[in-house]
Amino acid sequence: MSAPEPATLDFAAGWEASSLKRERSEATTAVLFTGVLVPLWIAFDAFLEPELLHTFTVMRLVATAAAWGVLPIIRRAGTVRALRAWTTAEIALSGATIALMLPHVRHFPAYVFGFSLYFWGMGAVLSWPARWSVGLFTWLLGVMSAGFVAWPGMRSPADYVAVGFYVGSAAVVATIMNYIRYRMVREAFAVSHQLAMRNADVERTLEQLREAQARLVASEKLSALGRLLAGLSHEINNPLNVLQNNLDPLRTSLDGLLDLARLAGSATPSDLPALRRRCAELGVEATARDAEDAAEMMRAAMGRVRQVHSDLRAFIRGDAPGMVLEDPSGGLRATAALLARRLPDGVRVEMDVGPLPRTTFQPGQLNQVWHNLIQNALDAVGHAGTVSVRARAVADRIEVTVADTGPGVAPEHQARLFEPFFTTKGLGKGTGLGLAMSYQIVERHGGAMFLDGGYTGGARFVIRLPVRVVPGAAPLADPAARAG
Amino acid sequence: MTPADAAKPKILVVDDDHANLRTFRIVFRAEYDAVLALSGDEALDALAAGAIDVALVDYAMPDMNGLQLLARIQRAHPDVGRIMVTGYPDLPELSAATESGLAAAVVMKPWDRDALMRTIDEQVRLARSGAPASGGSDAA
Repeated sequence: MSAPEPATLDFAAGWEASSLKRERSEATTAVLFTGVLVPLWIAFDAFLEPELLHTFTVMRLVATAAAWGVLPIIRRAGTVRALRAWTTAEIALSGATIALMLPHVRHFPAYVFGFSLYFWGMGAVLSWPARWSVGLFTWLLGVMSAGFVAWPGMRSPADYVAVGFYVGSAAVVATIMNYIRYRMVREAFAVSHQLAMRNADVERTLEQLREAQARLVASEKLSALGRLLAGLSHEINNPLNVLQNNLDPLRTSLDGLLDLARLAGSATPSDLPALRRRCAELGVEATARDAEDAAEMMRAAMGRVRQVHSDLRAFIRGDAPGMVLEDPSGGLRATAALLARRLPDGVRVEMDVGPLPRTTFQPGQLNQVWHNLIQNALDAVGHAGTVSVRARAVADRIEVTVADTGPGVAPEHQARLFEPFFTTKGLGKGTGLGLAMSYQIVERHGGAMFLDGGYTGGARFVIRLPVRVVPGAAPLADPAARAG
Repeated sequence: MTPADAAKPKILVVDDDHANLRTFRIVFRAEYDAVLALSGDEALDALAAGAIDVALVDYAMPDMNGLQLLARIQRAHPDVGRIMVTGYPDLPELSAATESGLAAAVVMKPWDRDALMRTIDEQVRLARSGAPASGGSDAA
């Protein structure tokens, strides 16, 4: 039995394709069988029935030629119907040449046996609907009977009865064999087709799941990023407010002072009282103070924006999918700096992150892990507490710990901590994917991540990353150098 | 004190960022008499000292945030106009605050001088007529 084409899910088309393939090989066997057997028979005749040789040789040479001629046609037949038609025609022709010899031969039983071989052989080789077998075998039996009628008196009536019974039953048995094999093949095809359909279903479901997972991962990244950006927009809008709104007062102050300076430049001693009056109107001291004040505030504001920008750049520059070979402490520091802006008065973030050994990692992904852990720790401490971020090299590993003085992780939650969708933050606050994704990222880096069970002052997460050099990971260009 | 000074509206500006306070004072030196407060507690002290027309409160402040402060102002000083200022875009709490009347208006940072002045003047007018825009009107 041949397997259905996996791409063909339409039953009829799949069955046609499968039948064509199977029946082509069956038909080739059957036609070859006649193409070899019929000429052998000529040699057989030369030995057994030399006097009949001439009469039937031409006929059987024609049948042999037909067998070899049909062979390429059935190799190329495009439909099952055409294949069956050509095969039937060829077998009908070569079988007829033997059927017509039967009345004449002296070694009657041997020829009857040989003729019946046709039926047995076709019964064993072919598997097609019973109507084709009935058609073919009826034709052969008909030709045989016609021969007996055309040359009456050549055989005794007992021979007719015997050959009729023997070849007739061979035809019946062969038809049944063809039909049973056809049914079995068809049922097997139906089963495998059903399996293929189910497989396709499973494949589709899997594909949908993969897409859903990708969407969830993206939405988790987006929600974390959104939260970060909302905080940062505040960090940018405040200095922007200072920059934008001090510009006009600075300009006004400058204009006033410059007007006065121009007047003073062309003043004569007699203008002095008027100049003094203008000075008093303008309030030179206050105006100068405002201008200095504004300039100083604007400079500080610029510094704040630049710092936010530089941290943000360090945080997101690793979003390229490639791996880098670098000291991972830079991303950790930048991420912590981004999150440690504008904390409530009672919250402190302690950083103990020194230079670390260079290792191969995906900066965007590790930054996501740092962001997740530090944000979780900040959420845990609420309005008062300390978040400690430490990183050091231990033997051939890098160990990063993020600890908080919050309430810790309840024992019943600890086992489920890294499960996707597990969250204690309440509806709309957490997707429950942060830690699960962090866990996967750390694993993909060949590291391990766990909750320190021995820590009782809150929660402490430990990440261990191997120091490793993966070939092909080029260091990223220095962002400061690219900033221009 | 000149009569002009006496007529100047007294605006309480609350922001934990000192630069924002100074900016307000510089920008509106001519228009308003700005009282500056770096926290909710300082703001409440200033309100207790009296004669504030309108309070301009930043949302994101440690300890007592802008919404909490506005709620306390609404209770203790219902006749003071309340305006919220924020650098956070699209915060659902803030639109809820305007809907409930906790804040008469929400102004985004960086603010525009003329637009802010229109908003403040409107609140000053309402506060002085004894009918703050919304929310606290029951006490007026």
